[in-house]
Amino acid sequence: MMIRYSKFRRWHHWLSLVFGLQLLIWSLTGSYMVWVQLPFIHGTALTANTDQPLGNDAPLSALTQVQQSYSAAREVSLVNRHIGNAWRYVAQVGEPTQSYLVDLETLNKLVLTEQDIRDLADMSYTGTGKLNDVRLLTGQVPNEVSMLQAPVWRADFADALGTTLYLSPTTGAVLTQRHDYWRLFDVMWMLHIMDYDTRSDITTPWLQAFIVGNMVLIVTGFVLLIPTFKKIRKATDKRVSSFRGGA
Amino acid sequence: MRLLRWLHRWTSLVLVLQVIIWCISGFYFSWQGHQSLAAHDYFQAVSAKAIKQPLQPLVQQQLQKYPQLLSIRARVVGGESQWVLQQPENEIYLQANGEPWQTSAAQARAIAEASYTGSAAVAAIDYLNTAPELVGQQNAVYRVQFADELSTRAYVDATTGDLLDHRNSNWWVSDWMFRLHFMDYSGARDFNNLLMTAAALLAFWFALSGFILLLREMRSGRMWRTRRSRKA
Repeated sequence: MMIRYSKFRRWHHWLSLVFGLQLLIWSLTGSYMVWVQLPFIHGTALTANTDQPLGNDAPLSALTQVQQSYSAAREVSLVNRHIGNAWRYVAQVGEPTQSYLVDLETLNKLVLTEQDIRDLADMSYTGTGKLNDVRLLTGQVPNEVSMLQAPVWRADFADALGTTLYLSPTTGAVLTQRHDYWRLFDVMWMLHIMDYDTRSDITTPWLQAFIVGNMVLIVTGFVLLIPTFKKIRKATDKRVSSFRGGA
Repeated sequence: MRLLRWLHRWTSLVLVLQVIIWCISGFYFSWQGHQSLAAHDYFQAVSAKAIKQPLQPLVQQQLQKYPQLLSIRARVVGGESQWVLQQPENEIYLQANGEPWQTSAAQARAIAEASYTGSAAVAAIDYLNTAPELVGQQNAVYRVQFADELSTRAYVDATTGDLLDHRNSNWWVSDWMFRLHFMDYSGARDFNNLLMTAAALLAFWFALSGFILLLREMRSGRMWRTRRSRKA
């Protein structure tokens, strides 16, 4: 059977015009995502624990009272946290939809000030930049932390990475961290999965069509390799036969 | 340009199989979606119960072994109170009375059932020292198998009582799709590996060379000629 290679060449060109740019985007975004180390993207090294060890004087029995006062508690922890510019034993209570701190003396919920959040953000941060701006977000949370619920504190640092820490207003704990390489990774992921809206839906027919289109593009390209290597074989055959004396 | 076309062809010969693998595995991911890929067809997060029984506080003597404790946490696991001692590098799990925690098979079953949204019954519970299906799992586990059409199995950590994950009969396919897509055949899901990074860069060069050749083809006007106009 004769293969009309010119037809395949035309298909190869036109398919690459329609789908090929996405192949370029996949390889570029994929390269970024595999070249930058994942732990660095997660930014786990940007923050460290700020609580002090409990030590020998920890009021271990206080947790019982806290648990009895807050009956919806699923978790009750004793921590030694920096609040009001001093180290204090406090209880952290976890309920299904919220977490908060409880004063061990009064058994009331503790309210953290902006200065507390500033101190905790500064102490958590392991980088060298200065704490620039601390803001309480009350409305919509930014897209980069869509899994968090407002209200949440946002602490921006003046460093080369553009680090942002997000802290809980009720416990002062760092909930997550973001930086510019993470943000770029997120854009790369968006381009890779072709969901330009929510950046999370990998099941769009749009994406599937481009994958199929590119597979056809690859197959036409593969067929076009045949004449190339036929030519090479012919040239080799000639050389071999002349070596054997033209037999 | 002859050189560029020559390079494009030779790179394609090296790479064609992997590009097709990327396409097939990528299509599989898109077809299945996050939930199915993670074997979460019948999965829900286990929400902890409120602590009902009064906590019996630990005493200082029980904590002397752990001088660097950062926090002490009480919670309910499988119907029983549990203490979680947070150390700088790891966590220690204790029973309410301060003795080391050990998840029972009955608790593992209850936790697995709480994580399962299907209607099938538990078919088997096994205690395993290792769980090859779970990437990076170190501790011993309970494997709770359900008698559904996907052979869903829930893994519960024997040391902590935490629900680890679900697996099912389709899992091996998505597992291999991930291995092939990330070129990490060990199953550890490390996509920063040398083979992957090298192949990614080569693929970028390959796509870029094709793109340049296409631009040249368009600029030369050859692409727009119909067969009839070429004959004429």
